[in-house]
Amino acid sequence: MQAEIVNKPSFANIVVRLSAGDKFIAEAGAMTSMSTSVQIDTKWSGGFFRAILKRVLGGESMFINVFSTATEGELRLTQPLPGDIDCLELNGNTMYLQPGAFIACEPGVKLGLSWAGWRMLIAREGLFRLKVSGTGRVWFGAYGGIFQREIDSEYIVDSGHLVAYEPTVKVRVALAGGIISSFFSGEGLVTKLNGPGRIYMQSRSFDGLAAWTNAHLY
Amino acid sequence: MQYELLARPASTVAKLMLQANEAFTCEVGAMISMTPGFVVETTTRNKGGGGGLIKGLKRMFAGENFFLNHFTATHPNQSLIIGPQLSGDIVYHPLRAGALIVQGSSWLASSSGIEIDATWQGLGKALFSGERMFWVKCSGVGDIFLSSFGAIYEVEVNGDYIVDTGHIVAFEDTLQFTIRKAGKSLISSFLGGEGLVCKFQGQGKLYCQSHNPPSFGQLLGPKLRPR
Amino acid sequence: MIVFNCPACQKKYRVPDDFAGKKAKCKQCQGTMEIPFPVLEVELVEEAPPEPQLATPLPSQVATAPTVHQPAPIQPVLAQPIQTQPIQAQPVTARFVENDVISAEVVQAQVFERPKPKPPRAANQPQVSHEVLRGASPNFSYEISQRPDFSLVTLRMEQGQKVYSEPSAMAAMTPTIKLKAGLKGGFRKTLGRALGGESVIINTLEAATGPGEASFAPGIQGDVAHYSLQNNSLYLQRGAFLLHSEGVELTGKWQGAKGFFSGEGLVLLKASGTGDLFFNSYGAILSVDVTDQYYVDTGYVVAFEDTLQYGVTVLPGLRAGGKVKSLFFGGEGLVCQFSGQGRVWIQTRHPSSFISWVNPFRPTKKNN
Repeated sequence: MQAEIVNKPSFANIVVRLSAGDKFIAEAGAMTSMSTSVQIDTKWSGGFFRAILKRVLGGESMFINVFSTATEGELRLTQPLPGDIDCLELNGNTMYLQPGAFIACEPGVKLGLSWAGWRMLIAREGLFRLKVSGTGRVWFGAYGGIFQREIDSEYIVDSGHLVAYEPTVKVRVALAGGIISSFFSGEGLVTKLNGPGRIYMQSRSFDGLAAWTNAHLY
Repeated sequence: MQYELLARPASTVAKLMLQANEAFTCEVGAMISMTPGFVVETTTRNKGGGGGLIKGLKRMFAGENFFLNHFTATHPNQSLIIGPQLSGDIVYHPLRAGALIVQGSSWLASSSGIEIDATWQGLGKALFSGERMFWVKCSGVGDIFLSSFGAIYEVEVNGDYIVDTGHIVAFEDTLQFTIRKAGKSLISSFLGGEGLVCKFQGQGKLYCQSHNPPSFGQLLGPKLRPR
Repeated sequence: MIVFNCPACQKKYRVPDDFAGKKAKCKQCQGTMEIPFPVLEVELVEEAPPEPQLATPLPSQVATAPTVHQPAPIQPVLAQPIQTQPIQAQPVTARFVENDVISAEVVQAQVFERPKPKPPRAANQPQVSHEVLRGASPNFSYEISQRPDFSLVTLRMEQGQKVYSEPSAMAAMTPTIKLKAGLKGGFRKTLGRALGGESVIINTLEAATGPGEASFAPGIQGDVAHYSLQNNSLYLQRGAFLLHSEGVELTGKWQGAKGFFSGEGLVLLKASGTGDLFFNSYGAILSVDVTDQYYVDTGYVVAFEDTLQYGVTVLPGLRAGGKVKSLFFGGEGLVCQFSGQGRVWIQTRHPSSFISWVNPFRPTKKNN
């Protein structure tokens, strides 16, 4: 199986070439076009109850599609948002993703939910985060371009700009500056990260888009 | 006429360079910037400025007031930049024979040798997310510029190929097409999010877009102020 | 499915992926086997050769390949691709950082020679919208990445250096940088900025406790351009301001009646002084060197140098029937006319189209 991410970072989409026996798992609605030799099987994401939780708390679809072929086939996948897609290779390790970021993975990867902490709710990040673990590749996306940093000490990320991070990174919420500055600066709360570990960030925030749109509506 | 596509794939614009007496037609609102040496005619009429026939325009622009700009260069080496309304890509298709079936909102501009028929009903009641899609048939000889939401990718169909209906930009009329469900059952097709797909058969060129507007709109909509 | 052989007697087995890593007993020789993990091909970039019986998707040749299309075979009626003019890269003086410069030769009959110290790129190279732009000034070194649709500006500052930004622009930073909100420039200048569509508040970010790095992003998708002011001025459209360094002053400029009919707002922002300025757009930024006259639809002007004269006029050469006259007073048919010599930056999309498009997706008010 070969997979390639094209059109980064603006309208990134995934081109996958499947061979007999390959399986590719993607969230519902991700397929844009494919060869007729590819079959789709729709399943509950992780079983009935887990699927509901993932929808309500994790922002992911309840169903997943499993793509396979008896011979060979090609498949194109996308995400609803304009933006970037990146690929992670898991080797028995774990990674946390922001809700809604998951797009597709190989069969050895498990997608679950993880408690993010009460403070994350205040930071509008959501109480839960997605947890991917196992072996294989995971594709995730965001609104904006995705860039990464290896941090070994403290780093500050504006809320809405954090996409993924390793479990070794500690995350907490703090004010952007002093109390007055935090309010007036438009930054409000920020996420303070403490390494070591790798973090993925996005160069736009979906909430920022919603705020800008609301300010300009008729 | 010469052309160049800039800033692909999300903020794409087409830069056109025309010599004296060369002409093309686009929607009013598509023009971004230009050099002074053009005559511009704005019309609502069915007949395009250069003689190309445009049928069923009212339907193409959803029955609202619509205007077309016909640009004719009066001097050599005049350039002009056009772009669509939404974020997305532009593709150039040279039409030499046959016809190109285009998704209604994807038509950006065409030269005067192209006839546009917006009454074409071939795909019938194809739906996407509950919205009726409409299609435009372009025939004749000339240049066509198409826009999209998402990046445009070309598929040379040779056999068959399946595309989610919301992701079709345009296809040559040498292709046969059928609408069918994506998965094994109708229910799984909808739950799997794919809904209806279009199966193309035969030989011909197919243009697809990597994203579709309703999926994005449905994610952003709930976060906005009610109207 | 995992396909493997028993290590002792080589009997072939085929089991589902779930069995990976588990131990099993061989049916033939009764030996213990450990089921291996499935071997996956990890080639991310290569493309398989086309299969004759399947459709041959061409993965985005159209989108990622050089944007100059290959010439169509001889057909006098059809459009020909423009042979890309050599793209003039960033000059050493750091006065202009090119974002997709359209060579003056294509736009006008006269050629205006600007000093171009760097050698021109090869004629068949693609437009560089996706390239990361890097530069340095006495104030900081900067990098603009994720271009041209989700541009991010990353600044590296020495201790004591500071930058002024529009609110909410900060995306990430090291803890050595301190953020403070404030009214800058006094009341009248603040009011001028407010009329120009910018916020009243300007944030100061200073590398207070050591050298630091900060990344900035506008709220909308689009590009960011850098301009180095050398004791001159740049006019900006509403909402275009993102960052500026010390030495730059930002004020509002009243456009009077001619600005009114452009429908774009009455006030432009003016940035003057000596220092660095970053401005953003909706969509990609194209810069055009005007040598005589150029017209730009009013909503697509991002910024222009003060050496240009600017006016609003009816679309030149416009012929229209009776019914269509009403267009003019609705704003269509009006364009900005730039004359003189200088640079204008245009954006390739307009935010009002996005607002119109998203309107139907808004929730509707419930009537009780």
